[in-house]
Amino acid sequence: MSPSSDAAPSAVESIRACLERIGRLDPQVNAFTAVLAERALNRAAAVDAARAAGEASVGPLAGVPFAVKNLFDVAGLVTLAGSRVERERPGAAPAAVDATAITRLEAAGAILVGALNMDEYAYGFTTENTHYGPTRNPHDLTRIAGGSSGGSGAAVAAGFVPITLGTDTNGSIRVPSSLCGVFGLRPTFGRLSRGGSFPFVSSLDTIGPFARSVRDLVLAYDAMQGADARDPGCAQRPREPVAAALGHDPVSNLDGLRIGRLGGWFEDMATPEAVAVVDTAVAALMQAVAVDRVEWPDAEIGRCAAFIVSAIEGGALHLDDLRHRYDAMEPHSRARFMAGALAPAAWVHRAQRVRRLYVERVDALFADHDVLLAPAVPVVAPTVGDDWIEIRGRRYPSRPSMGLLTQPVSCAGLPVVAAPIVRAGLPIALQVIAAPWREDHALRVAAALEQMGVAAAPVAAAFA
Amino acid sequence: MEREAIVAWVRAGAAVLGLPAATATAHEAEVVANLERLAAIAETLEAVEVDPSVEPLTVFVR
Repeated sequence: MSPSSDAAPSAVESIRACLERIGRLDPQVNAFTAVLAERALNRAAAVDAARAAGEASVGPLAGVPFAVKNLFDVAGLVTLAGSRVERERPGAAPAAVDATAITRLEAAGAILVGALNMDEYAYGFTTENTHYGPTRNPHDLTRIAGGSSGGSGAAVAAGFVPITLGTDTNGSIRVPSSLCGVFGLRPTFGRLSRGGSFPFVSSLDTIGPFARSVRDLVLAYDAMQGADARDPGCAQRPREPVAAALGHDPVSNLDGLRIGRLGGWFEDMATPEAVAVVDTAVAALMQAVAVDRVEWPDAEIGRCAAFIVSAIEGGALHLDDLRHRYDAMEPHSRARFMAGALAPAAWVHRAQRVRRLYVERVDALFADHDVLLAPAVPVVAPTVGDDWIEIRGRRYPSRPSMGLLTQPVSCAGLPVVAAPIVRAGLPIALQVIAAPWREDHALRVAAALEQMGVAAAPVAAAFA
Repeated sequence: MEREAIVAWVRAGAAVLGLPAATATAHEAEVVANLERLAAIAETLEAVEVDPSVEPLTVFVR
């Protein structure tokens, strides 16, 4: 059941169907690491009882199933964060309370059905998890789903649940959104509470939703907004809900928005088919508004700063496990964590100072523009196990390079919607980038593209 | 940065951080390769002109 659909079967029926589908089809995809049947059915019964009693406050997401990346605390489960280390840690205890985001979605009526696979400790873009197996792309099961929130992208693309939660430090929502062909939102840094989620790089980490429509994305986003004392990085801002601002005619709602497409790095580091999704979106938008070309300042410098900060903050966070449990850590990322732990402090200090200059230069772009467009990934989903990708005749290591186009944007802490563009072949998404705290602008453009039929996130054909 | 310098740094760093010698030896090559990559990136950032008055951007949200 989608929150946007008018039909409202009983929540218990809806959750039973959802659980049956996950049980039957997920072994092909490997999106879920835990399914919470009893919790979900109890919750569904409560929603049905509230409806039967005529309670007006069942919420905009009443009865809607959702699932979360397994770095969110779920009461009663050990928070894995994709690792074997957390599962086997001596004295490892299940989380006592849910993450703030889960609590808020459930307050809106949504029903948690499970936890989802990811790259260990969120350090990766492929969800080729050695401990729990790779999550496979529902559009082509031989290919990766992207990462690090790969289970979150795949579970929506396969039609298991209409909404999932992931995290995005350097692209971990936008990359799987793009490769799996679903909508994703990375909000402004500090907008949504990370309370009760396992950190990776606290100066870059954000949480956000995945969905098959912009409307569903917005319902989840609005439900999770608000300050939270559990997350010291969560801004003390009032809630700024977006649902009402979308309106019933998103195309006419484009009036007044100043839109640009990014050249330079965002074209040079993308294959022609990735650049073509921007061409498609721009051609459609230009029927309603003007779109000009914009050069993003120092994209490579931004990526370098994010790379250094991630490696060194991440390495420091996991130092004790690097000392004592190295062999139990993910072979794809443990040497990167170790290198980060060994790196001189001067490197991260320099990166943080360069980042401040970089953010000032990027923010200046929004004096003349409201929204900027770029591809989300350089290539379509590689095959599981591929070590290399090719961009314009040059080979790049696949695991770090899937974030070539997302890292410069998140280094500036900006809100971005990943909008999958309709095309023949495997999915690729567009990044719709807005000024800090203007998620509404990015969501308005994504909704217009969806209304025009240019962006869409159908269930993958093999699972439809 | 010279590869020999990175190798020496990794060996010394592993000792300073208390990484077991067997682990450090077994995985030295991949750690060195990753640290070399970080060193190259750090060099790019060193080339950026930054006034001494520019403070590091770290998390401080009220």
